[in-house]
Amino acid sequence: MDVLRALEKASTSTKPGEVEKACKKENWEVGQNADLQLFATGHAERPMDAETLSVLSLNACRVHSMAGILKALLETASELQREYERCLTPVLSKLSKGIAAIPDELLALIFKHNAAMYGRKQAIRLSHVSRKFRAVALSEHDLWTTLHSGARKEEIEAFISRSGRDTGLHIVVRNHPRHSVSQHFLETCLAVSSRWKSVEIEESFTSTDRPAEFESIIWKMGGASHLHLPRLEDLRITHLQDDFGPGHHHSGPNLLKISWTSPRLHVLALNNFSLAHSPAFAALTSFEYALELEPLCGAQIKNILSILGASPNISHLRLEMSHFLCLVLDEYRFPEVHCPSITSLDLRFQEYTFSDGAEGLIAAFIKALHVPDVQKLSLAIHFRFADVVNHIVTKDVGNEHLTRLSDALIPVANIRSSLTTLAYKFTYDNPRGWKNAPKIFWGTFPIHLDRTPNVSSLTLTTYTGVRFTREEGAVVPSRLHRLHFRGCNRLNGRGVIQTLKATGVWNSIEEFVIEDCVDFKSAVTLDAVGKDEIARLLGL
Amino acid sequence: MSTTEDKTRKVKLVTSDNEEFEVDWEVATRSVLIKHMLEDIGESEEQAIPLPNVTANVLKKVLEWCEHHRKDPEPAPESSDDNRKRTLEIGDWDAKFIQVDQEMLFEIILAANYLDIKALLDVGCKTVANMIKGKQPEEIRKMFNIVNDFTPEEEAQIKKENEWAEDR
Repeated sequence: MDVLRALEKASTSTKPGEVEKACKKENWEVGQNADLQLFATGHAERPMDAETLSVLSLNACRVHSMAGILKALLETASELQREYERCLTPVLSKLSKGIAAIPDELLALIFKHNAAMYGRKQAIRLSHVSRKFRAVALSEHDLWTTLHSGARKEEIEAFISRSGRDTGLHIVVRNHPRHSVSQHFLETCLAVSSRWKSVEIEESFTSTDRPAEFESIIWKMGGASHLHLPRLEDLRITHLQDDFGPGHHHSGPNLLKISWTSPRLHVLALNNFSLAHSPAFAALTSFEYALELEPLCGAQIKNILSILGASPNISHLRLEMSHFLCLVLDEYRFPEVHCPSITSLDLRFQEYTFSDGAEGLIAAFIKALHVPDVQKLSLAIHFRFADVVNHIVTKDVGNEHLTRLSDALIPVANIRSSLTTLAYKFTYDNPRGWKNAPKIFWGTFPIHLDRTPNVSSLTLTTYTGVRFTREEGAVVPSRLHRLHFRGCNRLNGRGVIQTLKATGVWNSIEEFVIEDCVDFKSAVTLDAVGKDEIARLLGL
Repeated sequence: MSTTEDKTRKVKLVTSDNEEFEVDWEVATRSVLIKHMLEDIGESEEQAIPLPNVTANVLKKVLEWCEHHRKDPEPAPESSDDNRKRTLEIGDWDAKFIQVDQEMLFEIILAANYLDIKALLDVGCKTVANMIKGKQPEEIRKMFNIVNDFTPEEEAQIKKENEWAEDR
């Protein structure tokens, strides 16, 4: 056992060269016998005497015994070596085999990421790489759940077959004059409607189609039928405009009404497509609506409000309106709707123009939409460049419009006491060919902090000036902790700080961020902040 | 829930090639496996955690990621089977971190899987997913040195699939 211990110890503590040294016979006690060298090489001229014979025989015995021990140890060590190799080789070999080392479940995860981002064709390509890839791809039902109207019959059938029996399906429909949807696709989809998890429709019509004759594909997909869609969670419909005529919104008295039963439909996103409110929307939690305003947009707005009023669970509303230039009225009135479930409101106005009509529409809409518990409000307005340029020369007109816009967005009579996060984003495009146009807009947007008394985080992006106001002598301490200016090209740091101090808001500020603000004068601003205040902020 | 005491604690990790790493508790416990092992061994600070599936050079890289993300909130459990909600976006730091050779990339994925670091596993898998985006099967084979081992019958089936899989 001493031999074994010594060997085990040597296996972990042998110094470099020690094994080579031990392999030299001269270093062995039994290898140092001079008589052995003499007789072994045949140079001995004398007969071997009895004493020499005795010593050599004794050493021969020791060597024999040593060889026996080493042989036995070698056999055991070799066996152990083989056992360790059997155990470790599969693991170690995987460590250096790249993708071949990746177990199937991780390969499937990679495939899912890939197919989710790059479309259904990825699943097919992956299944054509190797037998392993194919086996993993075919066993992963999630890779085969998108049924696309542009796919061939064989693809649709293969996808349905490979998606298993119970996986939710994603229906993608592209219905355009040159790529109409086949009857086979519609029938196949309807046959598995109980598995629909999401439906995404994009369609357009040519200028030769008259709206009255236009029939949305959603009807052919059973929109008017009492389909039971127990798994449908997400419905998105986009109506594309063509270049030759106006868009078609399905507004007015003949609004389409879906008759499905969809108890899990949580997300509805409509883009230039209107639907009448329906019990199918009862479970909505998120509603996104983008519409191009019509000259007489009353019916469009009323429709939005009617959907909101009849959907008691919507918590997130994202509304995008565009084409304000076409409005023909200056005053609007809409029926009021109460939406206490909405906590996140995202309003975007595209191609906005300074006009009484635009301001009147926004004011009337905000007045009608009661969202007493909204906590997060995002207001983004993309202005027409011509308006921005036109108002440069008439500062008073610009101020007047911005004041009206501010009052329309957060009216004086509508205190947002639940609001904690507020963001304004005012932008405009600088079209090509207008490089020499003046870039400064001489208007100031007022932000009335007393109308949002509990806002703790305010983010601003604007090309206009900004003025904060608060009721004089306000006794309630401000709760504004974080103020973030991002991309504000006309930020007057000193003015902002002075206003915040004058209104008693500055004392509550814990984080004051200036990001990508051209022409911002940091030294002047820091001077306005004051050394004591900088020390206070740094200490927070 | 970690305590203040935990945050100052050091943890010893021993790799498959017998290299020892001493790291902060907060860094080591980005790995759910290590976290559970530490809970099992209790207060014993001296006891090193053996990681027989991870070599030193890979662990070094993994710990670099854990150090950078030590303050990140616990990842939310994946609730949905919804493939479509996945995103291949990778943060700037992670994208730079994962710029390694293929062998190291897959070793990081395997280590992240073994150590149960979901966010790092996602970074690795998304990186591979990005590498194969839009690639044809032959390009994927070439990229990862994969042998086309389909039988003639399977090849015929694939050829057939290719006929209907063409873009329309």
